[in-house]
Amino acid sequence: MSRALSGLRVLLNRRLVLGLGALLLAAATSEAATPILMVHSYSQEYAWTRGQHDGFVAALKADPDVTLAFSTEYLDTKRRSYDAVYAQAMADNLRVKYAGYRPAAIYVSDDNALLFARDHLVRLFPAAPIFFSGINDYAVGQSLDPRQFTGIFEKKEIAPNIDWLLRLDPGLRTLVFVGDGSNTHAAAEREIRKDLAGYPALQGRFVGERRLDRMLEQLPKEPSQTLFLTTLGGMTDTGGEVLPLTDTLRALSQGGRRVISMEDAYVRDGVLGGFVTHGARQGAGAARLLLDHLHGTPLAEIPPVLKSPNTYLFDDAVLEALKLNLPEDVAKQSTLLNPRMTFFDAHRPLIVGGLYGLSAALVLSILAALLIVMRKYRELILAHDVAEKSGRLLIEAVSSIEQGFTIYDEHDRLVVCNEAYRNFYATSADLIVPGNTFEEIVRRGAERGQYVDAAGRVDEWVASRVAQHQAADGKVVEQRLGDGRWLLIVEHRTPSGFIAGNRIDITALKRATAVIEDRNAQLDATFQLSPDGLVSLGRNGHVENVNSAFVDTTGISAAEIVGQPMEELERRLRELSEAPEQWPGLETCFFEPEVGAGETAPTGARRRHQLVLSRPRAAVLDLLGITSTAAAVGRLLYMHNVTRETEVDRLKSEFLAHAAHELRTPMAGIYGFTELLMNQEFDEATRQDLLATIHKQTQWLVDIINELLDLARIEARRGKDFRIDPVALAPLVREVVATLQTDAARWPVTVEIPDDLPAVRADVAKLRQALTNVLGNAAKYSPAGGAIDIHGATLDSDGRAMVGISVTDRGIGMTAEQAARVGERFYRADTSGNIPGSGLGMAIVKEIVVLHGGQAQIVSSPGVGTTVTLWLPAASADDGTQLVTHLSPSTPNPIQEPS
Amino acid sequence: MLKEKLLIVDDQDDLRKMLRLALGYGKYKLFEAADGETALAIARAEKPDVILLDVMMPGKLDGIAVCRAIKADPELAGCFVLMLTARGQASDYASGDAAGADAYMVKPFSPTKLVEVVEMRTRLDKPVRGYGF
Repeated sequence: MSRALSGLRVLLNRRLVLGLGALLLAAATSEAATPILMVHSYSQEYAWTRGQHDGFVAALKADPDVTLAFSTEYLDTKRRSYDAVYAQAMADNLRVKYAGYRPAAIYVSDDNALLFARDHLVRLFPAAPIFFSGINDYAVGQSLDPRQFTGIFEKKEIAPNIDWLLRLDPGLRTLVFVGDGSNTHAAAEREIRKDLAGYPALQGRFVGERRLDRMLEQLPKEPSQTLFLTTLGGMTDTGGEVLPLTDTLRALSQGGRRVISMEDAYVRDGVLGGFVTHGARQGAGAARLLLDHLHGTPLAEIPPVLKSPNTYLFDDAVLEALKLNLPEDVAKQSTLLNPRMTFFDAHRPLIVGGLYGLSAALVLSILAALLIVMRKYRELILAHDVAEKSGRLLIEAVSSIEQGFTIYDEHDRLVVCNEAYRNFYATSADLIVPGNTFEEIVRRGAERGQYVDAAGRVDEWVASRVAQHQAADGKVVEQRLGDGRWLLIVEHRTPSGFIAGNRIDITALKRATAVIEDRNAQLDATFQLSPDGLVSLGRNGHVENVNSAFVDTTGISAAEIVGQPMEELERRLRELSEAPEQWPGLETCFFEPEVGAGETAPTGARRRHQLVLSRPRAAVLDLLGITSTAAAVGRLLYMHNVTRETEVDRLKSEFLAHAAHELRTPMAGIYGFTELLMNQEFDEATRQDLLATIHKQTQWLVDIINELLDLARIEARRGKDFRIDPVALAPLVREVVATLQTDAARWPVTVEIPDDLPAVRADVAKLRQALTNVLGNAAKYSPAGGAIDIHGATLDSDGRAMVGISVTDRGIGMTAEQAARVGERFYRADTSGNIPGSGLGMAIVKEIVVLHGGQAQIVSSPGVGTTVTLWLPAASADDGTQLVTHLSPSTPNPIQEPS
Repeated sequence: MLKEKLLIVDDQDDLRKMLRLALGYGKYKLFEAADGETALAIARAEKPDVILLDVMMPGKLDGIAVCRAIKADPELAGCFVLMLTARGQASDYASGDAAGADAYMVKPFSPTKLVEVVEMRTRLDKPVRGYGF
């Protein structure tokens, strides 16, 4: 009885307390929400933490009697290990942050947060009861004040997992436990080893490794691919960076490994599942304890829950992939993630899509049918329009063409014409109306001067034109209009007997033709007048035309060669050639130059070669063949006459070679003797002799250079700088003799110039030079004592009075052959070098005399002597203003006059 | 020991004198000729060891012709022919080569170099230019 009473009392008490609590809650709710502080060991990103948090909050919110305000803190001790220093820093932070805050309760998840609560939160918030969950360390319970702490312990249970595994796979002998090597992992390993003691047939292997890559290397070496996960929150990559859980789990579950978790947060990303600790259940458990407290139960009466609220949790998709079937009782208790789909679920998109497709097809076919019907209707309307328009279009088309178009009927009356026709005959446009006859229209036009050909003979022309028109035989008629235009007319009789006429304006064509004819005439003139030989060859390869230069150069007349094939032309040219067997022939002139790989032919480049003719006279021709792209002319052979250029080139190089040779000869002496003097000892007499020789050779060199320059000057100016005056010869001769005759005893000179010898037309300076050279030669080639005679003479050469001066020596003389070569550049009768000279002296004389319009004459006989006569034109009586007589008045006159 | 025989062929007196001085008295037994015909006659009579031969000479035989005749004569073919010329064109060397000349020097030349060529019997595959050292 008393027991029943006391029970009743308790019951009453409870009710009372509950009632009071409810009142209190109602009061609190009506005023403000109850503040709850939550402190989690890990971060909000950590699934296990999130599970507890969400489970805790959801369970609280399910109670309509409480209104709560949450503040949440995360110690984040996966990132930073939990120690005293860190704990103190966090506590300091919270002290500042939560100054004046009075939580009604504190919720902590996992071990570190609980330690933090025990060591710091109790001081920061002394009155607040503390609820915990996810505590693995059962031992910590001993250090907690039961009046302030209560909560849910967590234990990963190995035994239920081994049980279901063995039922599934009785042959299982080895289990591999993997974890991140952290303290948590180590704690788990110790627990598991204890539990495994109950399964002597099973071997447990432990892989604690922080780096995922090393773990993945290790795993294939393990004897079993059934893995148990302990804790993986600290797994890192090779650089020590903490990996997202997803990456770790995916990597571990690859390759068909059976990965068994004892924690709900790991059941994803290919992990099979197992009998797991459950974050949400942990949180919800803690929440229920808090609600008990809020509803009035003193904390001391709410003991911690030691049995971890674990559950079966599997990923059905993984079960399916690994072809595993859970024992029925386990399956019943299990929560399945990603449950297998029913047929409808699996094929839902296909079935729904198919239904949609079918209905869409139905709608479309109805629409299409409607469209077709509408289209047909439109076509009917269009066809009607087209028929109506086509007539109109035909008329417009005829009107818009540029050709003049007419139809006359069988009575030759105009039926229809277009605007172009009226415009062609603007003068008679007023008569161009349907109904008028052709004759009326053209007669009026002719009378108004519309047709050039009709001028002065209108009747005759009209009759002929009308006859032409009525014949309508399709013949082309050209008609010239008064305004200068030209028309081309074609007229036809139609099958119905009408006359259809068509006119085109051909004025532009006529003008172009005239231009072409003009151009042809010009080209023909150019062809004929070209100074170079030209041969045109037709497409058939026969000679079509040759110009006068060709005839002149080759001596082959146009009559002989025109119409002949090119082979005949080649044969004729070869006959005239200097080296017939070496001439490659005409065909090679027409080849384009060969171009090697990677090269481009120079623009306009043609193969050309030279043909040297010896008959009818020597000629050098540059041959160039041009193959025309024009239809009329096939090929053109161009014969550029380079005879003169070639000869000039040859002479130039010959002259240069000679000059160089002449300069080298005295230089050889100078160079050699000076070197000998430098290198060898000679007696004084020899030294003097050598120096004299060097001096002589140097003088020789200077003479050559001077004469080369003289010759070059004379050649370049060709007499243009001559100052022509009448020059009296006697004083000039005496002056030259005086200058040269340094030793009168050595070469006595007699001068016989008659007083009445006419003056000559000459440049006195040039004539002096010529005389100096001639006299100098006479002296040089005369042996000591040989006398030199100078005579004057006159001559009538074809009506021109010439005056001559002869210089006769009694020197070594020359053969006729040698004499003929005097005046050639660098020719010397003496080659011993004993008589200095360049071989240019007489060449200069010859040039000077010839440029004066005179002549140099040489008569010589070996051993007897030589006579050189310079013939110059005489000055006529009315010639010049003043006779040049006194040239160098100061010069003494040493000449011996003949006695 | 018999002295070597050396024949100088040049139409210019001064040049022969210069060669004479350069080669030194008493070293060689010297012969001289001023034209091709004389040169060939002396060569056939004396069979010289060395001939210094000017190319451009008056008369019927120029240096090239003389050289060709010497090289064609089995008794003389072994003699060392050094051509001297005032012409320096490629065609001239070619004709000297064809005639079988052993060496070729272009005027003006260094007498020292010439003596060296003669003493060493240096066969010059290229003509020695004026300042040929």
